[in-house]
Amino acid sequence: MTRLINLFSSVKLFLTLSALMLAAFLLGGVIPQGEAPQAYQEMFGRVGGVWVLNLRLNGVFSSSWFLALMCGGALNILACTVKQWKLLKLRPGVFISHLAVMLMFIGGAVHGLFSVRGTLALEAGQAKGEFAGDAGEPVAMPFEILLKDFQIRYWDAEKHVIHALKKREDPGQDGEDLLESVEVEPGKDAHFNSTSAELSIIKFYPNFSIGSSGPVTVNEARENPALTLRLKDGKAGKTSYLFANHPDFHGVPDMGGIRYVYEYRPGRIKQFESRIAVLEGGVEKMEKLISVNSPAGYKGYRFYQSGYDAKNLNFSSIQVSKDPSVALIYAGFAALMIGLSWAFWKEMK
Amino acid sequence: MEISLKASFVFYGAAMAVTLLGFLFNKAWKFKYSVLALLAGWLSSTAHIGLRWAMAGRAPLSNQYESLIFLIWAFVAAYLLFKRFLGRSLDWLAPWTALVAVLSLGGASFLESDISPLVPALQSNWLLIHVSTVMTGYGALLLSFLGAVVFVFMGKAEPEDRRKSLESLIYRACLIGFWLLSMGIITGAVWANSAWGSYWSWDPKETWSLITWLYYAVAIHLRRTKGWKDRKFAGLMLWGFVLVMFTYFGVNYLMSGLHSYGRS
Repeated sequence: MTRLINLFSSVKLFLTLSALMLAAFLLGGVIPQGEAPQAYQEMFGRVGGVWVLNLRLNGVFSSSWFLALMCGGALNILACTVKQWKLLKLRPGVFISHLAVMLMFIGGAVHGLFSVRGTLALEAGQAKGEFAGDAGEPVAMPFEILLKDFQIRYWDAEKHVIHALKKREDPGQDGEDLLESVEVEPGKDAHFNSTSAELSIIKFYPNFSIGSSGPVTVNEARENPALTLRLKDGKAGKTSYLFANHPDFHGVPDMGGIRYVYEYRPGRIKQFESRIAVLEGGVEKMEKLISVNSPAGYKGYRFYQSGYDAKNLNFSSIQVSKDPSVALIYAGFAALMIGLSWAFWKEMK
Repeated sequence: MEISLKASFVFYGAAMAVTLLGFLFNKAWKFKYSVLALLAGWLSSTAHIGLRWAMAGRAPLSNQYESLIFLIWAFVAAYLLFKRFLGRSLDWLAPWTALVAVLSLGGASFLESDISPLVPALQSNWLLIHVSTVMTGYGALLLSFLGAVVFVFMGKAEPEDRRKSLESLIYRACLIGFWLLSMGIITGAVWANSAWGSYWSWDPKETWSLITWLYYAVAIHLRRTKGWKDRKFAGLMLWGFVLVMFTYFGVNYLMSGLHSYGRS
C-alpha cells in the first residue's frame, strides 16, 4: 500500500500528468470540437481526418483517454494528500488547495454521471413535461413548464430611414449626392424639405414576399424588410415598394433624377424574457419571469433563458439543467481560494 | 474623457524621458521623477476609467478596448504597490513599466472605443467581478513577465540586491497573478452557471484559461519542489505570459465561442 501511495504521489508523476493534461487541453483548444467527420477530412486530409476521429480528437473532453487522464490526476492528488497529511498542520493552505482540486475532480465525476441538461423549446401558451437532452433524447420532468409569454426588449427601437439621392448633373461625374435622410414611420406621412416631396408610408413588411393574393410578409424575421408607400408629389396615388436589401428594385419612380432609398436599422436587443409557470397535475405551483442571467429553479431543475427565433416571436428556447455536482464544485472553489490565500499569504510575508 | 487617457500616455512617456535625461546628465533624481510621472499617468488612467464608467452607466469592462485599458491600469497599479512594499530597490523598473504602458496604450488606440449598450449575456454584476479579477491577474502576470525579461537580459555585473529584489518581484507577482487568475476562472464559472446553466463548457476561452492556470500551477510547483529559481523561473514566466496573451487576444480573434463579444 505504501509503495502504491509513493508511486502515485510522486512529483514526477504530477509533472508528467500535468504535461499530458496541458497537451490534451492544447489539442482540445486548437482542434475544433464536435464538427462533422467530413469537416476533419477537409481540415487535415483524408488520413489525418481518420486519425482525428480514431483518437477522439474531435471530442477530446468527453473521450475515454481524457477521462482516464483526469482519473490519474485525481489519484495523484489523493495520494499526495494521504501521504502529506501532516501538511495539514505545517502548511494548511497547500493541503486545503490540493483537497479543493480533488473535490472538483469528484464534482466533475458526479456531473458526468448524474447531471441532465437540454433544451426546452416552447411557444407562448404551450406546456411541456419533457425536454430534449443534449444528445437529442427526450428527458421527462416530474412537472410541466408552461410558457405564458415571451418578449424582447430593446435598447432602442428599430428605425426606418429613407434617403433622397440626386444624380450628379455633371455628365463627367458618376454617382449620386445625398440630399436628405428622413426617419419615417409606417402609417404616417413623411416630408422631404429638399425635394418638397410628400411620402405616405403605408405599411412595413418585415420579410416581404409575393403570395397568392399579393404582397405578404413571410414571418416576423427582418430578412427582407420592405415599405409600401405612396408618393403624393408628381404621379400622385401611385403605390411603390422600397426594399432595404435591394435599393435598386421597384424603387419610387425617378422624379427629376431623385431616387429614394430605404435603410432599415434594426433595434439593439436589451433583453429577452419568458414568463413561465410550473404546473403539477394541471395546478400552477410557481410563476417566474426568466431572462438571460436570471434563471428560475424548481425541485432541483434550473431554467435558463437561452434563445429566441427571429422568425417566430412567440417562441422561446429555455435551457434546462439538473446538476447535483454544483454544490461540490462550489465547495471546491471556496476551498481552493481559502487554501491559496492561506498558502500565498505566508509566502508573501 | 479622452483627454485623461491622452494625459496618461504623456505622463508614461515622461516617465521614460525623465530617466533618459537623468542618465544623460548623470542626475540622481532620474528614477524618483520617473516614478512620480508613472503615478501621475496611473491617476489619469483612473480618472479615464471613472469617467467612462459614469458615462456608460456600467463598469467599462465589456470589450477588448475597455478591458485592455483596465489591464494597463492594473499593471501599473501592481508595480506601484510592489514599489510601495519593496521600497526604492524597484525604482529603476519604473521606466520599463512606463514603456510597456505606453506601447499597450498605443495598441489600445487601434481598437474600437465607442461606448455601446450591453448585450443581454453581459448584463450582470458578474461582469465587473469576473473581468476585473482576470484583468488584474493579467496585470500582475505582466509585471512578473516584465521582471523576467529584465532578469534574463540583466548583465552579471548588476548588484546582488537588485537581482534579489527583482527575483522576489517576479515570484510574488506570479503568486498574486495566479491567485487572481484562479479567482477569475471561478467567478467566470459561477457566472456561466447563472447565465447558461453550466459552470464549464470547454469553450475555447475557458480551455485556454485552464491551460494558462495549469502552466502557472506547474511553474509554482517546479519552484517549490525542484528549486527552479532565478533564470529558470524567469524563463517559465516568459513563456507563461505568451499563454496569457494567447488566451486574452488570440482566442478572441482566432476562435469563436461563448466569449466572442470580447473581440469587439
